[in-house]
Amino acid sequence: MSTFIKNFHTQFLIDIYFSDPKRVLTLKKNEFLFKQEQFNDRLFLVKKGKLRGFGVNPDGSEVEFFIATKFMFVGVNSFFSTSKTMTNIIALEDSEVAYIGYKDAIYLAGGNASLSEQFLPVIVSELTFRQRRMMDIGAEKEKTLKKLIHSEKLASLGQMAAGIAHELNNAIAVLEKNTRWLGDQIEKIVHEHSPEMLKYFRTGYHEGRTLSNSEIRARQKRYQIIFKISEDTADTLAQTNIDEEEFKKSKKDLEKLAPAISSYWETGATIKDMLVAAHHATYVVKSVKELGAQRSQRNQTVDVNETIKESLTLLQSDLRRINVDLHFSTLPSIIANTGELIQVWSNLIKNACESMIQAKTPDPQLVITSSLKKDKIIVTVKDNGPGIPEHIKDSIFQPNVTTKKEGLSFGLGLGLTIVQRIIDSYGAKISVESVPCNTTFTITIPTGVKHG
Amino acid sequence: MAKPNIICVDDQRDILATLKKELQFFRDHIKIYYCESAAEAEKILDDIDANGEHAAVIICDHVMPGKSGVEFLGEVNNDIRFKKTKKLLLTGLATHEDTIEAINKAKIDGYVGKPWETHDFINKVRTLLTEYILEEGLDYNEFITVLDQDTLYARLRDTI
Repeated sequence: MSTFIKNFHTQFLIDIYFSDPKRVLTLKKNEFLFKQEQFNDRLFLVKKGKLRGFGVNPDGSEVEFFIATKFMFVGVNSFFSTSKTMTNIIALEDSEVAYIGYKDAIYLAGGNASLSEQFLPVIVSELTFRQRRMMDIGAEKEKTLKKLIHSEKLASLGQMAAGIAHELNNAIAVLEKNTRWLGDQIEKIVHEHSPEMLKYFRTGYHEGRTLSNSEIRARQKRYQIIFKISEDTADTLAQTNIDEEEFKKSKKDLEKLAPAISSYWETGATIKDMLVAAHHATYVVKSVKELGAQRSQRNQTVDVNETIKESLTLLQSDLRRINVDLHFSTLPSIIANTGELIQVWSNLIKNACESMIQAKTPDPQLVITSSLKKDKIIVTVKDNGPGIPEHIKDSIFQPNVTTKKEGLSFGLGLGLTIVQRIIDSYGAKISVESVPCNTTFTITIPTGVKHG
Repeated sequence: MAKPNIICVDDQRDILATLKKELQFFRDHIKIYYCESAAEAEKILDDIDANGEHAAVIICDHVMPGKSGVEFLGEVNNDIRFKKTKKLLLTGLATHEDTIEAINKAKIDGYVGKPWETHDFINKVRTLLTEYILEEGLDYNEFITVLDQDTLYARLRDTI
């Protein structure tokens, strides 16, 4: 119930109505001018000091409505609407207020304007002020609420991820350790019972599938000719990455031996597949867990290149259709938090992937480089997608800016905001240049205390 | 003799090796090709067609570098040489939109999620293979052990 419109008109009102020294109240600090739910038949003008207007909710909590200082009106609403007061007004310091009451003489300035007519600008201004204030408060509240919901979401997502990661790790550990045991056990058994087959099993078990399927087909055709064996046998042998010389040794019996050779090799290669898959799963889970971790301490010595590799593993499914080129230099370790760095790279990589996929970029390509210049680590993440749209170029680091339309992708427009926040907290810098077919984010991280 | 073939496409070698074991059932009767990309599969398809053989079933992953599974199957669908080829999408990750496109544009005949259930998977492949052989009017006697008996009887009953 206060307003500040010190213009010609108010000056006039002040001179006419608020200049009588008999109608001045002095308030000591913490003294109430009036309280909520009273009738008020006076309109006040602050002459000196500071008043605070606030409401008290049924639960006892206070809501501040305004702070009134010199030349601000107080009591406008209750005075003109003649309804009960909605605020408590207390002096924040020793103050002086001038007032008029209903019964005070109306000054008739060049006409018959009533008191409320003369005060109309004050009333309108007061109402506008109040409404704007409520709107501001509402907008601010909504903003805070959104922030809160978002951080809650992230926190519970993180907790969930950590929980799932833990469960999966147990399962993976059992699978991985037992697969290893099984492989070693079979190796022993083969060694004891069919030593002549050991080398085939071992090739599969230790080297895995090194041949591509097109290489296998080419080999098959060649084996058929040079060893004079059936298509089927040739196919069986071609699957293995066993040295051709081995086959030449048993040339005569090759047709007969092929199924056994293939079976021992395949058994080994299959166990190897399982180990690689388990290892991969462990890596993925580890990355997810670190992403979900609460802001942890920066006390790890971190190899930035490793964090980039982990991000790539985490995003493997997004990267399937994209050619990834890595150019890493050897970097000094920095004191950092692995999870935070992974979060930075993941966001940049994810954005690059999604823009290229969304735009159906032909031959989508992602190039990531790392280098050391003086005492700074420089990482660039480049894609050949459509580039950042002109109209959001300046605001990409602000929240709620997104180009992601699909419902399944994150699309909260928070990715780069998070990136920026983390980057800032490391005293690092991020910049971006974007034209169609070349969008490059450059991150410069100070190495700080050197390790190793 | 017109031979029906099965073509598997997946960029992950360990998945192809797993498929190889899963499809052991067909091995003595049907030639199965394993390809690590759509481009590789296209070459194989050309060879199969050039040799006057049949591309009966394509089992294809979706998320692959280069051409995606849905794109590839869509092109196969529009290729007059492979009008009747059965298309099975095998994928661990496909968005809702991908799936819609797979059905509308690529006209896939089946969808199997990863990880798959062996029995269901084999049965799906069997059914598709049987349908292809019947639709193309190939002599099914040679392959009868790997064909789906229900599909076969249903078709025979209809023709009587």
